[in-house]
Amino acid sequence: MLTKMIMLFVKRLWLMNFCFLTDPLYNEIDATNLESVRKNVVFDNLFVGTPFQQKLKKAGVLDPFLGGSGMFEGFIYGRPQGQAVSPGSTVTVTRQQQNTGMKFQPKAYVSWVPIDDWELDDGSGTGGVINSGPSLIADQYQIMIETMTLMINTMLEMDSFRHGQASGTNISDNRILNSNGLDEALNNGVDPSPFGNIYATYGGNTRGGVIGPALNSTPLWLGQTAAGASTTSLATNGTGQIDVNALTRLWAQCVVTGGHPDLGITNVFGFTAIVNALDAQRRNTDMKKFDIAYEAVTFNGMEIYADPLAPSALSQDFLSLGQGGGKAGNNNLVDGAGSNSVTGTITTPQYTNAAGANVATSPTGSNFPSNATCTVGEVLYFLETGSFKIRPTNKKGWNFGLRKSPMPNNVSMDALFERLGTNLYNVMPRHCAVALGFSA
Amino acid sequence: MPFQPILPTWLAINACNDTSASGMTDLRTGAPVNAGGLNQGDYFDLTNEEANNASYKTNGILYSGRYRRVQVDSGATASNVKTGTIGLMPSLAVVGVNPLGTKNPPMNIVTSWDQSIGGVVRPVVFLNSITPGNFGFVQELGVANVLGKASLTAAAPAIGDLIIGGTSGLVDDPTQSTALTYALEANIIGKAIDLPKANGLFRTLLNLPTVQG
Repeated sequence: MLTKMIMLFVKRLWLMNFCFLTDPLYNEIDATNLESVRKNVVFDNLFVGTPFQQKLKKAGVLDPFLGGSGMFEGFIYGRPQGQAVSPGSTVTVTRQQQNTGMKFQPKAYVSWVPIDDWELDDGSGTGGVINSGPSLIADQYQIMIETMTLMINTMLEMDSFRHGQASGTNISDNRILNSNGLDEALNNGVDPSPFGNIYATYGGNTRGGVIGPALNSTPLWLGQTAAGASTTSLATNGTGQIDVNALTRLWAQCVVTGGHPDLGITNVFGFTAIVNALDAQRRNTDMKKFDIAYEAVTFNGMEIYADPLAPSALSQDFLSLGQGGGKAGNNNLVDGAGSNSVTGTITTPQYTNAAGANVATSPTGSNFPSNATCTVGEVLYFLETGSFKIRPTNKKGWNFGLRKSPMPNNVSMDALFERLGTNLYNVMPRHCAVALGFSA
Repeated sequence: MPFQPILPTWLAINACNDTSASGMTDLRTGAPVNAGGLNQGDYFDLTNEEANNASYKTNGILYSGRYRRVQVDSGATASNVKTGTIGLMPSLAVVGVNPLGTKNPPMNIVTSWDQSIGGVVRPVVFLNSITPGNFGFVQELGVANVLGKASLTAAAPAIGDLIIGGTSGLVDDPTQSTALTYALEANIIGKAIDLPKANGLFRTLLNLPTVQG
């Protein structure tokens, strides 16, 4: 009976929205001491760095978008006629088209929060009844501005490794609102990308058509190579190991087209595999600080950086990347499509040779087997920074600019948007390459 | 309370079980902290993507629809307030007399099915367990996860079946060929989008009245 009475009493307290009050409310310690507070210090235990963007910016690839119907990039894909001749002979002088252009659209990135100017001041100095004065530990408005910027940078970094095309043939996901990242740039229209798509076009141009291989970059598969009998009878392939041979091969794919790869990007776990591969060959694996914030190793004159947001199978075990953001709904890092950069499995097509006959291995030199489900594992990019463009608008309102939108009949609430119009793309994909299918 | 498209939810929408309408309570006195912009009765519409992003997966994934900040009446049966059960309008005894001398039917206080004002008035879908007396969000329009009773009436449940609410707030897939009566019509919650499931959650396009206030 006593227990039942106590339970009823406790339930009554809950129902009355009271917590267990002490009488008197404050003891002497709490009535005379504040908590020890280090003002204006808030530790970031969610976001991570974005070295890919930072290294590109440091390389000077920032090219502000000044306006227009899109971003045009001219390129040469054909040659004029020419041959060794006998002096005095005649030739028929003909001409074919030699150059055309790619076109990319600016993409809009926005992060937002509600602002209650009863709770916090919005920088105008007119609000913040609560979050102000000598009792303020940290400026909540400043925290939200900084996290909105971090959110935009995180979306951009993760989108840098994905694509910005609509879904369609061999493209399973619609990312038309996102930047035109590496997944579509470093492809050849034949082999699957690290996220399983085959991009028949880049910058609006059809790969392998009139422009030939001008915009092609062939992925390098490093995993197992068992081919399946048909598209309905798939083989299963796991990851392989990366070694110096693979690194050199990837480097060669960039250099043979005239490229000068100077930047390597891989996830931190891909990075460990590369360091181990270099160490096995007694290469220098001293990860000195090439940058104020990021570690790197060198290979053939390239600095290879570990990017925590680059594609990886393993990173999700340690970094909050999974779908669904826990009980708060927001403690996971996501890209601009609400997705992430965790790799899974991809499916290869039935390859054919020039005569149209089925073959067991891709004719492109990618090492992909036909009709196989392949585990991507870790991914490595060898990049020529000079072939990239980052195109933020020069309009202040859309270059990390703020827009505050009051709710007209609300006494204190505004919507605050931080906005960026930009794109990231590559104008010479053949100078860069991607390797996939290795484990950490 | 008007439509409110600018508001915090603090946690995922289907993870809130707060001791104050604003979601914040003074640690010392237990009194509600009225700041941040969240109020009882705030309602808002979400797209599929927005609802997905505001979901606590453990309690189910949310979809496009209208969501509302409500208080669960302190007299509700706690075990009937959980993911996918149907809540109803409580007795008018829970509200005060208005200045005109009548009692306003509460749109922003809901109770468990078994404690309703009587009949099936103002059905809503609970998104998670909420302690009676506490505050959280319910869904009143759109695509909702509803919880099927232990044994569905229909011999062959199918997508598109009319779904009705019933005992303990659990839903049933009635025999679809049964002649519609007023009593049966009053219990209609919506139409099944997934195959109706006994003892499990399945998605239903809600067919409930819109309310103001």
